[in-house]
Formats: sequence, C-alpha cells, structure tokens
Amino acid sequence: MEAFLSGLAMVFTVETILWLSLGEVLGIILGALPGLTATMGIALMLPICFQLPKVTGIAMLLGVYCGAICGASIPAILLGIPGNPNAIATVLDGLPMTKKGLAGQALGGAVVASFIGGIGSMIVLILFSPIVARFTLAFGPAEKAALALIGLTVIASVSAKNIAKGVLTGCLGLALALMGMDPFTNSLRIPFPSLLARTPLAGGVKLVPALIGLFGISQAFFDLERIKERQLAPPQVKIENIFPPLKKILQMWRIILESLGIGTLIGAIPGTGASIAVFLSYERAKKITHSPKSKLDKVGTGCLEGIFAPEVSNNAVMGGALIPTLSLGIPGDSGTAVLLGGLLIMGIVPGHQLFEQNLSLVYGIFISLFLANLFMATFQLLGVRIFPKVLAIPMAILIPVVIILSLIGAYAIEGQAIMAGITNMGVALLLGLIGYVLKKGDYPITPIVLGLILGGMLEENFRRAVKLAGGNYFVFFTKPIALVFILLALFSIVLPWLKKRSRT
Amino acid sequence: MRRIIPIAFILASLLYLLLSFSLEQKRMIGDELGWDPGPRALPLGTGLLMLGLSLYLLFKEWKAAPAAKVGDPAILRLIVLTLIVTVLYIVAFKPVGFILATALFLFTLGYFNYKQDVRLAMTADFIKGLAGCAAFTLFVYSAGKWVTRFFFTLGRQTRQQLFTGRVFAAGVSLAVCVLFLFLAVFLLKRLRGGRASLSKSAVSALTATGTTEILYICFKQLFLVSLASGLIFW
Repeated sequence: MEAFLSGLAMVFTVETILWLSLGEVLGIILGALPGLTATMGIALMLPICFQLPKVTGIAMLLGVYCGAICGASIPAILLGIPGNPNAIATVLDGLPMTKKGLAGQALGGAVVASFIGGIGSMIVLILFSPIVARFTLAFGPAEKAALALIGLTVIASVSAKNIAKGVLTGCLGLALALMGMDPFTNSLRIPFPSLLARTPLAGGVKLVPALIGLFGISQAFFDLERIKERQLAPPQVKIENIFPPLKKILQMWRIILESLGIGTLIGAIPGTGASIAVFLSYERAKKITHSPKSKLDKVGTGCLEGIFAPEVSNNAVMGGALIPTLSLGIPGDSGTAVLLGGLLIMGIVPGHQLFEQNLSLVYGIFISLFLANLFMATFQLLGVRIFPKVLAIPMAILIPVVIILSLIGAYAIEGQAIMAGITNMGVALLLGLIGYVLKKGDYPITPIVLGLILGGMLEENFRRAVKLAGGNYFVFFTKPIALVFILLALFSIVLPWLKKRSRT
Repeated sequence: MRRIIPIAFILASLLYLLLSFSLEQKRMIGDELGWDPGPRALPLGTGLLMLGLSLYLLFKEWKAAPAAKVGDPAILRLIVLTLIVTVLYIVAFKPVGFILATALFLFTLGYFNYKQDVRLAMTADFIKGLAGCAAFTLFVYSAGKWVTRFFFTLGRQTRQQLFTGRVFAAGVSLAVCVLFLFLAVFLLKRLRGGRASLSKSAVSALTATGTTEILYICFKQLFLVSLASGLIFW
C-alpha cells in the first residue's frame, strides 16, 4: 500500500501531468500523420524524457505511445489511409462508415474501443507481470543469456519476410552493441583504436542516437521518396454523434472480450506486433457477426463492430507487449523495444529486481499507463473535430522537422559536451542512412535495435555462465530452463522457414 | 540495391572479423584459470554468422532476376540534397552555432521539398528566402533574449524569484516567438493583398524560425543543454 501511494505521489505532480498531456497530444498528431509511426514518436521523445524525472519521462513516452496508436485511426476512418500499421484493419469498416455519413460515430467508437483495449490489457499487465518477473528468480547467467538469444531470434524471425534478413540485421545490432569497451577486461573493441580511442566513439555506439537514427532519420528519408504523392487534406465531412450508444457497446461484449484477449496475447509474444493482432481480431469479429444467430451488424459493411474489433485489439497489444518488457527485459514489439531503450537509459533495469526493490516505480508506471489511456480518450474525444486538421500539414515541412528533431535529440543527451553531442548527430545520421537503405531492400530494422539492447545482456551472461562452468561451452544445454529457451530460439527460426518451404 | 546490400554486409562482416581477430585476448579479473571466453569470442561468432548469412543472401539475390526500377530523378536530387545539407549542418553546427545553422537547414530543406525538385534556376529566389529567414530568426531570437534578460535583471533587482526561473524565461521566449510569428503572417498576408495563403518560401521561413526557437526554448532554456552559440555571441 505504501509503495502504491508513493507511486501515486510520483505521478500526480503538475510536471508529470503536463508532460503526459503534451506526449499524448504529440502522439495523437504523430499517429494521425501517415508515414510517422508510434515507434518513431517514442524515439524522438527519448532525449526529452532523459531530462525529466524517471516517472515523468516514462509517463510522457507512454502518452506518446497510447496517443499514436489511437491517433492512427483518424486517417484510417476519414481517408482510408492508416496512420500506421496498427490501424490497417480499421480502414475496412471505417471508410465505409464515413461514406455513410457516420464518421463521427466511427471516430468516437475507435476512441472508446481503444480505451477499453488499453485499460483491459493494463489490468492483465498488472496481474501477470509480477508473476512472470518472479519466474526470473530462477535465472542464472546461462538462462539470462539464452533469454537474450530468444528475444533476438523471435523478433528477427517474425519481423522479416525472409528470416535470413531478420537474423542478419539482428547480428548487425549485436555487432554494434559489442563495440566499445569490453565490460570485463576494459580492452577497447573499436576499429583504428589509435585514432578513435580519444573520441566519444571509444565508448561504442550509444543507444539513443542509434534509436533516433534508425527510426527517425531513416523514416524521414523514406517519406521523402513519397513527397510527390498527393497531399492529404482533411475531408469535408460532418463529425457528429461521436459517442456510440451504450446499448450497442454492451451488445458487442463478445467481440470486445475476444479482441482484448487476442491483442494482449499477441502483444505478449515478442516480435509479433499489432498488425497481426488487428487482423486476427477482425476475422474473429467477422465470424461472430456473420453467424446466423447473431443480431449484430455484419463486419465489413461499415459498422461499429468492425471498428471495435481492431481498435480494442491494437491498444491491448500495448499492455501485452509491456508484460515481457517489464518482467523479462524482452520487448514485445518495436514500440516497446524503444521504450525499453528509454528505461535502460534512465537506469531502470526490468526484471524481478525492479518489482522487488522499486515497487513504487512499478506502480508509478502502471498509474502512468492508466492516465495515458484516460488522457488519450479524453483528448481525442475533445479534439475529434480538431485532430483531423493535422492531415493538412505538408510533408515538405514535416520531413525537415523530423530530421532536425532527430539530430538535436541525439545531440541533447550529452548535455554540456558539445563534441560528444556532434558525434552523436553523426552516429544518428549514419544509422539513419543504414536504416533507410535496409528498409528499401526489405530488411527489417527492429532486430538491429534488439541486438543493440540485448547485446550487452547476452555477452555479459554468456561469458559469466561459461566462466562459472569452468570454461564449459555446453553449460547452456545442461540447464533445463536455458535449454528450453535455446530450443525455442531455434524453433522460432526453423518453424517459419519450414512453413515457407512447405508452401513453395 | 538487392545485390548491393548483401555485398555491403559481406564487406562489413569481413572488416568486423578482422577487427575481432586483432583484439587482444585479455583475461577477466579473477580469472586465473582462463575460463572466460574473452572479449573476442562473441564478436567472432557474430562476424562469422553475419558473413555466412550475407553470402547466402547474395547467392539468393544473384539467382533472382534483378528488379529494373529507376527512381524519379527529381526525388533522387532531393535525397542527395538532404544528405549533403544534413552533413553540412553537423559540420557547421559548432562554428556557425545552433540558431543560425538550424534555421538555415530547415529553410533549405523546406524550400526544396515544397518545390519538389532542385534546380539552378531556383537559386536567386532561394537565396532571397534564405537571407530573409536568417534575418527574421536572428530578430526573433534577439528579441526573446532581450525580453528574458530584462525580466531576469528585474527579478534580481526586485528579488522576485519568479522572473529569474528558467520556466518563466522559456514561457516569455515562447510568447515573444508566437507574437512575432503572428505579426509576420499578418504583415506578409497584407503585402500579398490579403490573399489567404502565404508563398511557399514564406511558409518554409516561418516554420524554420518557429521550429528553431521552440527547440532552443525546450533544450537550452528548459533543460539547460549547451547548444553551440557559434557566430551569435549575444
């Protein structure tokens, strides 16, 4: 109880509420603009959260995350263009509703559904993350190394159409993470040590500039290619009757519960992401509404049922993805990967110790998540007629703004050190260009981030495990939990490959 | 592109392997028996895996028919310009200073993005806009700085702590910036005979000034990040 009250006191400060609100509004705007993703929004806000107290910074990032997921439904409903992949399935019933003159109800329905999904999955997060975290008590170095390996392989195999590409970019991230100073012997692991030893690069590739470059600058270059495509404009439709009838919501209880379950479960599986969850939920809702006994409107015809299923699901993914992030330190999707990067920068190490030794901070995170969902619903309902206007912001202006935010963000984390900040800008630009080229070649970039985040954990525990086992490299196969993790890691790579082969 | 990426990965993995082999195999403190795999083990493994995978991908891409897709030359020019201007920005950040470098960077990219091309014929118009943007940004920055200093001095003389706080200074600078941006929009519209929309060059310049000021207020005034002052000594 004391920890809960302490967490409450951390969140309910003017500073936290203001930054959370700002994060929420920025998130909704970012989400509403096609091409700008939730992950990019979180990455761009990292340097700001770095300057704030821990809970305030996390609350702001959660605000951006929540807002961006829900905000993506605005262009999906009004224009048939999803703001980001989370809203792909919302287009299917959202646009027909707009054409029927029900844009207000579709937008309002999407907000209510997102709120239900967010709060529902948050309850699951609160119930399950301490249990999963307790499970990590049984983990020694061998198990932790195997866990890092599974985090890497699962994301690498799921995020790419070609597994080899995913694993390759994961290796690139790992290679970058292993640069700099060796944590055990202090020997330098950089190219041209005589030249670079006295530069900020001697410390290796820093996480924040890398995240900003990979998700901010690469996206800006990617969007630059589409600058000639038609400029979006807010559609001239009447937005009224935004609140969906309560009776209708109650009638949809089965769709809501199933979508909540699907979203939370898919989110909790590292690497899967919202785009899978929304389609699964949509298909389930279709089955429910197309059954002969159903009194609900048929999904696919432009109805609230087709909005609720994907929107409950995509916000539920967030709570689900936070379960492995907070309890194991393994992110559920690209958004939580960047969020995890933010936590690590602030010195918060997920896992059992966090729940055991810093319970008030954990409560602070949970309360922030609740407020982020509440603010998301409030702001988006209040601004339901205003937010669509952001669609008029021209890409010509947005692209340079994203690049400058990325560069100054990478610079700012160094505070007073100008040269280190300038080096960070260079690193962000270089990784942004690498990310851009890789994206163009259909290589996923999320595994690079995972490699960067988990590389340290993997190496540290791998070496510790082998050393403790007297130089025995087979120690990972003698410990049951580590063995299960290694088998799962192998399975995550082999299974999609076998599936692909059987299809061809 | 499809073949270039695996080739680049092969080169990167070879370089990485070379680096890994050249690493000194030191022992961990307290590891007298040499059971620690050492700083070389994981980089070597990663390098080998990267090399193997990139060779496999190159082999696969070689077998597949190359996609003959040529991009729009105007877009290509924009991408090259963005890259060059970004590199120049990073290089010029310290000597030129945050305010001027940022405003010029934003204006340049905004201007050419609006035009959706980069052509020599645009130079005269571009330079006029660039000079206007630099002058307006310096004016707004100086005005904000002057008002902030005025309140700071007032606060110290009257012992009013509110006036000397960084949040107050940030608020005042923001108010000054918004005021001058509104005034500029109003005047520019009047100059255009009350027409509803501003020229694209003016929009780029005003956005550049606004964004630069907001970044300055946020990072310098609120978070006390040391942004290089460069040419602007005041």
